[in-house]
Order: sequence, then structure tokens, then C-alpha cells
Amino acid sequence: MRKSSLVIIVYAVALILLWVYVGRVEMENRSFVVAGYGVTWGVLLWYALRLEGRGRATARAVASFEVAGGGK
Amino acid sequence: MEPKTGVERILGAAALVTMLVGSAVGLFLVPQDAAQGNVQRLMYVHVPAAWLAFMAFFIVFVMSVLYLIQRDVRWDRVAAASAEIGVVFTALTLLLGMMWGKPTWGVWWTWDPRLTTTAILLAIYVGYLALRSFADDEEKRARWASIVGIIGFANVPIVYMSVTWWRTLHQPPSSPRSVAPEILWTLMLNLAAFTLVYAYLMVRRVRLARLEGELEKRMAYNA
Repeated sequence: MRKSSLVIIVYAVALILLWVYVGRVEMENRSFVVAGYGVTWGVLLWYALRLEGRGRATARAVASFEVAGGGK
Repeated sequence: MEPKTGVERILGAAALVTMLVGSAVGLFLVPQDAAQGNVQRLMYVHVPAAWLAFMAFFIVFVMSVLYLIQRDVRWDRVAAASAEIGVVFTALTLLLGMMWGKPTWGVWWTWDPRLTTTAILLAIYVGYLALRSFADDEEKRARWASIVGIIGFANVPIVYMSVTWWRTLHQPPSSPRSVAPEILWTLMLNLAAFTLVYAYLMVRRVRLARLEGELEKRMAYNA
């Protein structure tokens, strides 16, 4: 399994567990609280994974020049 | 991208663990606010996101000045990396502010001075990134971006002071004396977590910028 898929699964499970927990303790405004922390983690994880993806794609592009013999 | 170094792995792990602990404390351990209730827990992510956005744009400012003095492309790469991460944190600040605003003010958005100046801040640095993508020449791109990076930073103190200068719905800045110790410590813990996240993302983004520079050189050589 790819690392990004694993991260997405763990993130989704954690969010569901958090939603269930705050429901059980009857936290008021729970949708805003869960959405806030969910968005925070979601945005930061999305950006970190995107950086890794861009890094891999750029490294492949650089390597393709080496294979083609065009690199210096 | 090259594999992560030992320092990068430690930094990433430290950022992840501190974020987990900070979120857990902010969500479950610290008592709820007497006036706002549980929705105030959003402060532990909203305020650090805003502070880190300010810090990211301060780094853009410093690196832009250094670039214009020394004309070293490495300063420009650091500035570009910090601007991109600053945009992520600013967007996050606005989103979290909207989620906090709806239950407390009754609206998702209002043209309040703090909100408006923050939206302008986001627009400035999105523009900074767009400008970078328009210029093909590395030197020209770095020079234009540095000028925008220096002028754009003028909006950061305006955002910060907006709650003092104008009548606003947004609460004024808190001081350690006006906040309960448990709230203050939770805020500081989350600030540390966000700072570690920023540092980790910066290291990775600067490394990517170096790689992109290398690719540009090779493409130019082959053109």
C-alpha cells in the first residue's frame, strides 16, 4: 500500500473516532470543533503529501535528462 | 526527491508527535472556555496558524532583502518556499476563523477589518506565487518576486494592528496576563507544534526548489 493511501485511511478513521467520541461526551458545537481540527490536519497532511509527490515527479524528470544523455 | 536525511526524519517525527499531543490537549484536556464553551478550542489551531503565516511572510521579507543585496538565488528559493507555506497557513487561518465565527458571530464571513486585511494578505501572496510562475528567466523572476515580497509584507503589521486601529468584531490580541495559565500553555504547545511543522515543510520545500532549479537548467541546456 502506498504511504499516501495509508495516511488518508488513518486520517479518516481518526476523524470518525473523534466524531463518535465528542458525540458520546455530548460536546456542544461538536461539528465546528471536529471540522476545525479535521481541516487543520487535512490541509497540513495534504500539503506534506503533495510536496512528496511533486518531489518524486521532479526527480523523475531530472533523471530522464540523465538517461537521455542531455544532463551535464 | 532525495531520501530524507536523519535530521529531516527527526524533525518530521517531532512535528507529528507535537501536533498529536497539542491537538489532544486542546480537544480533551484543557477545560472549556467559560464564555464561549467548546468552540473556543478552535483557538489552539487558529491562532498558531495565523502566527506561523506571519512568520512565513517575515522570512519571505528577509530573504527578499538578502536576494536584492547579494543576488544569490538560494535566498530566492527560501523566500518562494516560505511564501507557499505561508499561503497554506493563511488559508487555514481564514477557514478556521470562519468555523469559529459561525457559532460565535452567527455568520461565516463579514467584511470586518481583521478578516478583510487577512483576505488581502492571502491575495497578495497568491499573487506573489502567480508572478513567479509567469517569469521564465530565473534572475528576472527572483527580482520581481523580491520586490513583491518586500512590499507585500507591509500588510502583515496592518493585519496585526487592525483590531486595535478599527472597530471590529474580532477580539483584540490577548496577553499572557489576560489568559488563564492552562489556556496559555495549551496555546504555546500548539504554537511549538505548528513551528515544527513549518520547519519540516520548509526543509522539504527548499529541497524541492533546488531540484526544480536543476530541472530548469537541464531543460534550458537541452532547448
